[in-house]
Amino acid sequence: MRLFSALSSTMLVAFLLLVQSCTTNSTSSTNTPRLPQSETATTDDRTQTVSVAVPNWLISQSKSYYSDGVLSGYTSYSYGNDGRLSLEEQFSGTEVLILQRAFSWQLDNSLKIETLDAEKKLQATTIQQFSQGRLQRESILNTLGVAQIFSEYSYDSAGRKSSWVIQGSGIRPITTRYVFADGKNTQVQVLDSGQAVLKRYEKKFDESGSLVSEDKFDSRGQLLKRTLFSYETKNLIHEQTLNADGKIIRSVKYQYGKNNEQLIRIEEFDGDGRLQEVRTHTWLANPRAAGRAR
Amino acid sequence: MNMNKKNIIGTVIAFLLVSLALVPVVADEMVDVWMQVYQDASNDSQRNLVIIKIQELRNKDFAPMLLEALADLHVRGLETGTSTEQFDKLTLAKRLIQELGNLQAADAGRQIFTFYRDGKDPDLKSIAAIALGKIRAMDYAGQLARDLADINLIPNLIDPKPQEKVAVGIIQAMESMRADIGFEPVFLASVAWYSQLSGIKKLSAVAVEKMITNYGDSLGQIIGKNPQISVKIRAIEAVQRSTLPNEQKNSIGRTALRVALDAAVGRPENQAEINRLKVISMGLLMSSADKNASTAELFIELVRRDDGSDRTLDDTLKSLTGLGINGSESAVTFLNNQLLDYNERQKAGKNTDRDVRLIRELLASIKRIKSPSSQAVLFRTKFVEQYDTSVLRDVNDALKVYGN
Repeated sequence: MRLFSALSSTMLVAFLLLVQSCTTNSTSSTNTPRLPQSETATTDDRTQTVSVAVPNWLISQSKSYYSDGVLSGYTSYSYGNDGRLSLEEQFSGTEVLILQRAFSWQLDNSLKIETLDAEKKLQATTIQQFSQGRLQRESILNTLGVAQIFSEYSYDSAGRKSSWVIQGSGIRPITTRYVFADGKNTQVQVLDSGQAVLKRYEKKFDESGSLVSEDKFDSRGQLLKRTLFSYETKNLIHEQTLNADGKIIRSVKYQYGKNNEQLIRIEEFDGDGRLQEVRTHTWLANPRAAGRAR
Repeated sequence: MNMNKKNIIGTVIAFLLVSLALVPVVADEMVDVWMQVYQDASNDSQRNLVIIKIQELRNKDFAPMLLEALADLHVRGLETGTSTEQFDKLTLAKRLIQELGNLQAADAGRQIFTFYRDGKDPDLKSIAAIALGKIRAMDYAGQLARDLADINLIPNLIDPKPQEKVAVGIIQAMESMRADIGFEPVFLASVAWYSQLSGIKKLSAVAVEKMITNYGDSLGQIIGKNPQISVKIRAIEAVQRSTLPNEQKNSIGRTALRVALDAAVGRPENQAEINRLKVISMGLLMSSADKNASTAELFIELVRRDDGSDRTLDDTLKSLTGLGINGSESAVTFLNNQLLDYNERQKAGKNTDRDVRLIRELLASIKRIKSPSSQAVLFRTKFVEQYDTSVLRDVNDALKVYGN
C-alpha cells in the first residue's frame, strides 16, 4: 500500500522530491493521485529553506489495526514550537516503544534524523542537505558517524527531479531516472551501474492530470504488476493492484474526514477481498496556520 | 539567493503544497532501489543501515526480500566470524525479524520461530517472540505459552534478566495473538517472581484483560484447575476488579468458594491462604447480591461446618448474612429451620452467648428476605419467653415488616 508509508519520516524526503520534480510546471500538480493537503503536514519541515505554505493540519497519531479490530501498532508525532516535526515514536500494539526518530535542523540548513532503538541507543543518522529548497544529497551514517550510503539527486532545467543515484562503499551505483512527457512524469527507470534497466514504470493520467494507472516491468520488459487508481472529487479513494495475469492481488480504500481535508482511514484488502489491515490517522490543527485550520 | 527569487520559489512550492496535496510518497521505485542496495551491500554493517531505511519506508513489498535475507543469515550462522561481525549479524537478525513483524509478513512465521527457538541472545528471542505475535503465527502460540509458563516458575538466581527479557517478548506476543492458550501463563506472569523493574507484572496484568473475550471463563478455569491457592486468589481478585457482568462474577465466585470449602477439609498447611480465598469469594457473592440457590447451598454448608469455636464463628456469621442477601427458597427454608432449632434449644436452656449472636444475625437475614413463610416462624419465636429482650426485640422488628 503506497500511502501506508506516507506518514513515515521518509515522506519528508520523498515529498520534496516529488514537489521538485513538478516545480515550475503548473500542470504537473495533477500528475499524481491527490490526497488532502493536511497529509503533507510534516513536509513543512523540508521546506523551511524557503518560505512555503503552512499546512492546516499536522498528523498526531497513526494507528494500525488487525482485521478483527485489535490494535497492532501506532506511531505518534511531536512538533516543536515552530511547528516542525521533532520526534516520531513507533509503538507496538501492546504500547511498548519500538523505535524513535529525532529530527533536528542544523545551522547549515541540513536536516539530521537520528534513529534510536527502544532503549534510546543511536542506530543510524541520516543527513539531508538542501539547496534552494531541493534535496540534493542524503547520507546515511553508522553509529560511528561514518557515512556508508549516499544518495544524490539531480533536477532538470524546469526544476523537476530527473534522477536519483544511490551508492556506497562497495555498493555499485543504482540510478533512478524520471522521464517527463507533456509535463507529467510518465516513466521511471531503475538502472544498474551499467545503465541496464532493472525495473521500469509506465504511468498514465486522465484528462484532469490524475494518475490512473501504473505498470511495473522487469528488466526484460515483462509486465510484473499494474496498479489502478480511482478518485472522487480529486481525492484518491481506491487503489487496486493486479498481477501480470490480471488477477487482483491487493486493494486499498481511502476515507476522508470533514471537508475532505484529512485522510482518516485506510483499509487494505487481499486479493480475495478480505480485510487485512485498517489504519487510522488523527490530526491536530497547526497553530501556525491559525485562522485557516478548521 | 536574493529575496525576490527566494519568494518566487517559495510561492511555487506553496502552490504545490496546496494543490498537489499528498502524493503517494513511497513510490514503488524506492522499494526496488533499496532492495537492490541491500543485495549489493558489501557487509552486514551496511545491510543494517539499509534495513533502518527500509523500516522507515514501511512497505509490505519488502517482506519477501526481508525473509530471504533472514534465511541467508540463518545459513551464514550468527556465531561465526569476528566479534564485530557477530554483533552486526545479531543486530541484523533483530532488525529483519522486527520489520517482518511490523509488516505482518504471514509467511515469515517458520523462519522467525527458528531464530526464537535456536537463538541464544535473550533480546533476539524476545524480538522474535514479539514478531511471531505481530504476524499472529498461531502455530507457535502453544510453544510460546509453554515457554512462558516455564519461565514463570523459577528465576535463574544468578541472573534472571535474560528470562525477564524473553518473558516480556512472549507476553506481548500472547497479547497480539489473542490466543486462549496464552491466557493462563500470562496471568501467572502477573503474579510470578519477576522484579518490579522488569515491568512484567504490569505488562501481563494489562495483557490478560485485553487478550481474550471470555476473560471470565479463563479466570474461572484458573480458579478451578490451577493447583496453587495463591494463584486462585489472584484470579478471584482479578474477577473482583473486572467489569464482568455480575452473573459471571457470581458463577466464578461460587467456583472459588467451592474450591475453598473443599481445600479446607482437614487441617491443611495453607489454611490462611484458603481462608483468604473463602473470604474473597464470599465477599464477591454478597457484594453482587447473588440470588442463586446454589450459592445458598454453599453458605448453608459453611453454617453446618460451624463447630462452636471462635475459629468458625466469623464464617458462620457471614454465611447467615449471605443467606439473607441471597434470599432464595433454599435460604429461607434453612433460616426458618435454624430459627426453630434455636427456639427448642433456648427452651432447653442450651443456647450460649455465641448462639445468641448467631440468632440475632439469623433474624436480621429473615427480616431482610421478608418471606411470607417466615412470618409464622417469627410468631412462634416471639412466644419463646426464654429469649432475652434483645432477641425478642429483633423478632418484633422482623415481624413489623409484615405489618405486625
